Amino acid sequence: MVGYILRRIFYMILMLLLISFIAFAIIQAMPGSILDYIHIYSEEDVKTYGLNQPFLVQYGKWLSRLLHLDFGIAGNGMPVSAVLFTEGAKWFYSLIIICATMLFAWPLGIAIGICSALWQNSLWDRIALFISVFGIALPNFLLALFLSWILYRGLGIPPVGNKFQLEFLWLYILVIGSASIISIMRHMRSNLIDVLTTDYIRTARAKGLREHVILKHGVRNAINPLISMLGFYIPTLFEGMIVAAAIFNIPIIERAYLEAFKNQDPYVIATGLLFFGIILLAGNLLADLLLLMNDPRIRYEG
Amino acid sequence: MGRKNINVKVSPKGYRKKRRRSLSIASAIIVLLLIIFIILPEFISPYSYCLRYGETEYRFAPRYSPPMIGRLHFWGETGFTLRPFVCAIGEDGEEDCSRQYPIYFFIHGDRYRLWGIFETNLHLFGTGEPSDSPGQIFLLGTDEGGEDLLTKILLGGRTTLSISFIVVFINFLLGIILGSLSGYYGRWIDDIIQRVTEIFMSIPRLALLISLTFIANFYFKGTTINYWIIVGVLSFVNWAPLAREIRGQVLAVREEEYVMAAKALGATAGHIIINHILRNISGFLIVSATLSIPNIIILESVLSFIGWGIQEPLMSWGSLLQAANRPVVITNYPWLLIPAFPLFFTIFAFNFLGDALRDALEVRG
Repeated sequence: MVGYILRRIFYMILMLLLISFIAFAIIQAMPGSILDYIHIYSEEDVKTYGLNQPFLVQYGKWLSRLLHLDFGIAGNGMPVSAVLFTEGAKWFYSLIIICATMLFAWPLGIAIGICSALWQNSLWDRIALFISVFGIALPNFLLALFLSWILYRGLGIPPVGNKFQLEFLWLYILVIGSASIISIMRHMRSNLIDVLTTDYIRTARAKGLREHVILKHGVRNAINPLISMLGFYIPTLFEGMIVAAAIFNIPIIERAYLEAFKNQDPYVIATGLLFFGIILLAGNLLADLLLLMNDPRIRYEG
Repeated sequence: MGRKNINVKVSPKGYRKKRRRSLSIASAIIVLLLIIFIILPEFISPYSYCLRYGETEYRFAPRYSPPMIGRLHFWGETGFTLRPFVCAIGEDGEEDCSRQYPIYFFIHGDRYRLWGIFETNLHLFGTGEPSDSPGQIFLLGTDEGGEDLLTKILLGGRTTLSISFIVVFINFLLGIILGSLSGYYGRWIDDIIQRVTEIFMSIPRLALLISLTFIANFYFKGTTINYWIIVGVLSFVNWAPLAREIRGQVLAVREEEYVMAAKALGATAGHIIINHILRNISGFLIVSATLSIPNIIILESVLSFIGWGIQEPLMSWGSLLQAANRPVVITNYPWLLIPAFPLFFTIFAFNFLGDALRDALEVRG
């Protein structure tokens, strides 16, 4: 178990090295050198980051600075960590939004899925399926556009503005989480329907166990495939956050990342890509560990 | 509580099956219509966009003119007529019914080159008025530049759909080659291909897409290049999960008896992969190709919507919706949201068609 985790972490570090290389290769692929894009670097900065040296030396210097949590200097003279994370508490808003979305999407999706599976083909199930069929075809940016239109017509307040508005948190959650909710709900429903027709559930019923005990067995087994999909949902959330940042203009990490491309800010671009890669890999690791906790049948070798 | 619900009533099931069938047929019809639209957009729309773009010719085209679909008049002075007419558009965008312009089918209008070959000026419908006349028909209204939205939606649909078809084709070509190599040969080939797919799958798709478009835009500039950049970038980013799924399918089929038999008869690996394995997973391939089209459409639309996809003068549904990104603009000119509807129904139709094909071909998983 510990060996398995250590091996996974080692593997993850290898992956991150590769991703950081790809990220750095992307900014080096911009025509000219980094100095052509940012003119405010002092002699000292040029020396620290090896900006006048060949690609591999620059990459090595950037990596070694990464270990000191120094991600480089952005176009406006501030450190990249400030532009991407700390300035205006961007990391905090990103964290709030992502946590709120997860806390909302997972319980809701699972609960609707369970209810739909239990009362299969009921009116409730039909409504849930109907909404999910339409929801899948509605990309989150369309949802965001329509919701902001309705809000502006109804209330006269545009949900945009260069600030995080707590009263619109539900809007962000809905836009970012709708795809996840629907997908979780559908998976939960079909998994639970499959599980409820298995032999051990029939045996449990034959023994005369009460329904909620049976449900406990059923749900624990039906939820496993979902947990392994946790890692899969993170890119979806990330895409949703980019869209929400672009439409509602919320000051979060994703918006700073989008702006970096507009400003042609090399270090911010590379750091952003690396950061999202870290989140994705960490999410995958977390999903595997959670699965291990929930399903004792799974034994990872090592 | 749950016990009763396991029993499935028989009669509604048959009804549902029938309704599902009709919905599948409806979605197949939508897909067919879409294909006609992407083949003939300039013919169906009353104007041609590419001709006007960058030309100095004066056109009577008010900015933000509301949709005229509700302003087709069937009641004239002589009573009901089967030839509807539109009223002249005043300078303020309001209609001025002192001048009436009937609508004709198969009318001559703007010149355009169909598929870049046939030069013609035939349009499906229109008023046939010269371009400086106020008797224009903007069925879905006009946008900020006074461009006909219907024309833009049809041309945007061509971009969006053709991109997604090409990308899915390339993805499947790559996915089939790499997936079947990896699944059939196993060992080190499998190891290498799997590691590469893992790297691709651990970089967030959208971030990689934006970065690659960003880099490509430095080196290649131009209208057609913009299109192929998006095609290339989307295919580059999306092949990995597909290759992995195909590998799984190949692995499942590889140990079947007919593959063993073919091997025993001395068939070559290429023969086995193409004639036995791929043919047996063809149902899966068809279904997942259909289901991956809407994914590519969504990805392309999001990319164009946030400004890193299709650029002017090309357009896609996503880039058209970019104009509707400001609440004030949509509130005053809500018809700018119209491109959302073809986008929604296209995704819906492909999803539904994929599900129906899955049922019909009895594909598992």
